[in-house]
Amino acid sequence: MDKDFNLSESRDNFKLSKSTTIAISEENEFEPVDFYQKEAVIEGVMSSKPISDDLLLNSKYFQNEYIPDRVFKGHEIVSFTQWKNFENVSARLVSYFDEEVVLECLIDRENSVFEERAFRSSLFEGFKLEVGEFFYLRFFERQNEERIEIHGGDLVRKEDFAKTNFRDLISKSKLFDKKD
Amino acid sequence: MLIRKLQFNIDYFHILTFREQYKEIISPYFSFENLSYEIENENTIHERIRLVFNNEKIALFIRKEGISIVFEGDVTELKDQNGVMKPFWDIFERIKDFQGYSKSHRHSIVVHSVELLEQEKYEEILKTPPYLVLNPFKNLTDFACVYESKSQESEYRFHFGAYSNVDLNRHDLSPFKTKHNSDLKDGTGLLIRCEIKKAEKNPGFGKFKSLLNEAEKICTEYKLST
Repeated sequence: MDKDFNLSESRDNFKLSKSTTIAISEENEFEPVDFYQKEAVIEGVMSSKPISDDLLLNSKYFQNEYIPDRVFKGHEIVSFTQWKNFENVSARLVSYFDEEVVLECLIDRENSVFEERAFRSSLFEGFKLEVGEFFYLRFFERQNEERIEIHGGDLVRKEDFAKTNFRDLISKSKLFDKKD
Repeated sequence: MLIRKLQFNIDYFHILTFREQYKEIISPYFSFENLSYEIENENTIHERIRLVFNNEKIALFIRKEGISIVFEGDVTELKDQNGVMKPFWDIFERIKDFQGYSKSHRHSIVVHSVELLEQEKYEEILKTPPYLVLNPFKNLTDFACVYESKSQESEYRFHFGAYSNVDLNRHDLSPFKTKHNSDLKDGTGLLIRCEIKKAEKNPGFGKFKSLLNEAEKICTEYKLST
């Protein structure tokens, strides 16, 4: 079939290879170190002959490039399933106690649906806990495991949340109207 | 027929102040694990950025005249607005807050579906393609048909034909090399590329879902197997 991916002249093909990686994720492949070289060094140490400089210098153990070249490539592989991101939530702190933080989570932006969810306060270590603070939560899963990432409010669009100036609401409430 | 890759675009009127404003909304995403980026046409009015979320298998392409997402995997993941597509909707909402943003004018979707067939059946189709009335050759090595349709506010382009390993690269069907598309390598079968463009002043998640449902319907209703 013909190659036809561009939708219009102003739109480009997406090539993912040229981009710059910012953060390195956990490596999924590990391999034992080069045992052949290790044995050669040990053999030299155990032998009555002095260890030759050649053996030491040629051993990849003593070369900086040894680890990146060899450790992550090879035949014996232990692999882990990658974490799968399944939910991302913009949230605002509603209340917090000693061990619990309650967040107002945005579920549906178009219909302004929110849901209150409680989390362990230890998850928020390092963040300022104040009513009205915004957080961005990312949920990941893999077989029999779940992970939550807490990010700061920079990722949250504050306008998605209704303004809650309770003092204004109360002062304007008819409940507190004085009757003459 | 399984959708393998999806591209969704929102086109808006040019934001001349885009270059000065977009970095502020993008930079918080740099705290995400395994994110790649590339800035193009730097320091010009055409400056734009590609953000590749390698773990989520999505790529965002953000520019002064529109925003696009490319996704590889099971499209049901995109039907939840808080799913992997959330950064796309969040960034779009924040672009709408830019001083230079006036309005959107179109949204469009491109889906690629592939149905794998056994080699024998595939060769039989190439020998006597049931979809082509006129066939100038005895044996085909490949074939494709394109159907286009236009209504007042929509444009449709439906492209289908034989699928072989060559199409994997031609259509860049597996940019993230996912398990979802691992069967495409060395496979043979039939391929659909369905594109729908619609005039839309106020694109959003609900309208995207309708567009995706429409594309899925077109792909499934078209009976490819003989």
